[in-house]
Amino acid sequence: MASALIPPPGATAAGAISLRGVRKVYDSHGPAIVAVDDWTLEIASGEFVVVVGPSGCGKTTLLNGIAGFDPITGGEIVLDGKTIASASRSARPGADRIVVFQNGSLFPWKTVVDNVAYGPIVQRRMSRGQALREARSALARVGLGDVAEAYPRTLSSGVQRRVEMVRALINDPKVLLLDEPFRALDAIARSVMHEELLRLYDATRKTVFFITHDLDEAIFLADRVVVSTSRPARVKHVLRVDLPRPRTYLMMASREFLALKREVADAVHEEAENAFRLGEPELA
Amino acid sequence: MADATLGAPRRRIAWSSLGLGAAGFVLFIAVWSLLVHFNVWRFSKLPDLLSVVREWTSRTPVYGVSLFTPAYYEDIWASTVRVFAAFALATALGVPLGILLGWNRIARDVLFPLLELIRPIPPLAWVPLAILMLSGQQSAMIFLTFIAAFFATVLNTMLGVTSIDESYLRAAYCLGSRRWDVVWNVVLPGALPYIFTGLQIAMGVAWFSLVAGEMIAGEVGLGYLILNSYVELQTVTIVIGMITLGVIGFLSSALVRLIGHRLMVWQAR
Repeated sequence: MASALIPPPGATAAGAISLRGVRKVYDSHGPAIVAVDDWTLEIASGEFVVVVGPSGCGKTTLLNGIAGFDPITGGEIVLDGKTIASASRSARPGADRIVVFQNGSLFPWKTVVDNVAYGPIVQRRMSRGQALREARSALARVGLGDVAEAYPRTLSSGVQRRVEMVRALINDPKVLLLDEPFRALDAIARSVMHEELLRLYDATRKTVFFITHDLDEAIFLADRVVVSTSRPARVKHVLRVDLPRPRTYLMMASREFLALKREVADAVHEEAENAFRLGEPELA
Repeated sequence: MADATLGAPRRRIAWSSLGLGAAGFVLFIAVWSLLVHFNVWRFSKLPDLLSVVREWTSRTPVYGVSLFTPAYYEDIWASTVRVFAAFALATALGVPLGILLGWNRIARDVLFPLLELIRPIPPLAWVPLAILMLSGQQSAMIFLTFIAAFFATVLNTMLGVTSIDESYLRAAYCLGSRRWDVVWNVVLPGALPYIFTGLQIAMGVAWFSLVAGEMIAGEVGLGYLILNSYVELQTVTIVIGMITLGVIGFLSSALVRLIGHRLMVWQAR
């Protein structure tokens, strides 16, 4: 800290996240519920981390903490050496950490191109005309030029999610936070989306924090899969996925993939059984 | 060729519902005429359709009001001006207040109980105060027309704001919005379907509050026309006034609906 001449490690590469003993207690309604407890993980800049765990185990709570939607009760969340959330400091949402939501959040009242240009316009980074030009060319680059003037509700969920990813990436965020973004899609659309997401990832190398309970999805996408325990959520198991990139769907049938899946499945199954036995209601 | 085959079924559906709508009118007129003709209960006190139409289209109407008399249009004009003035006022004040109530917890906690207490007071109960407090009959009547429309607008706008999906708000903040950006780009358009539901209701209640107001304080206007014709036992003119109110009320609601559709093309799938 004393010498500004020597940059601390990781200072140049943006998007490194430290989750240090993150804790979240809900106590506004009735008895206190510990949703997340002592959740610790170091995420390197440009790393693709997927968190899996039983439904309602507090994964989304964690993501909301990073995004700044919800204050955390204890521990701290550090982004590139800067504490963005702790017990005493509420994080605020910002364009350096953009969320892609479970059910999609494209503004239905704006056309696709207006949705994509929205970030640059409200951040006053570009003039309106320039933002729209940039948005059009970003859409064209991923093959969505034809739907630029369409309203989101006229498009399939798959196309809506692709637009939403373009809307996020045009802001050049440090981190992408994805909360089961493909949950509503059918299996075929989902596998196409996985390849699309990985293409974008390979091209941009943003840090990705991805939540799911689909194990195939987790292993196919991730550098590391983190299995979270049922309530309270803690890190149960971390698994490195060394499948080469770029990945193709054929890898999902490889021996290596299946071995990884076995390992994740064992850990998740144990937690699912715990959650089942406890029979607690689901938490967001 | 392909267009014609695609277009045909839709057009047929539109024609058939139009036909059914016409059948409803015919049925209504038939029942009305029969009731009057056979003097069922006290229906002979009512004019039949033919005499209404004859009076309405007469160049020399017996009771002085028809399509060819300036007095008729003066009444229509006076009522329409009052309704639109009250409606514009209800929109201009009601939408911003509704957004504030939906958006700001403190504002809602302070103002909502008050609004809920004032809202059930019927427009007619406001008549004495309106006449005492406001100078001139015109402003008193506009106020009476305004009051119910205002509450319909405020409450629906508030409901629209509170019903906006949280993820739109979160997405907007994620993308770097300030509060005003969110109000303008998310809250207002997100609440628009509810706002327009409110405005349609507002237009409806504006017309019937107006007529009540004109019956008490008016010297010109459709409500006044009806009351005055009642005093002078001109039932034909009463029915002309009622039908005119129905038609103009329908047209003004249709206008609100049309504007809503224009502003919400994104809703069409």
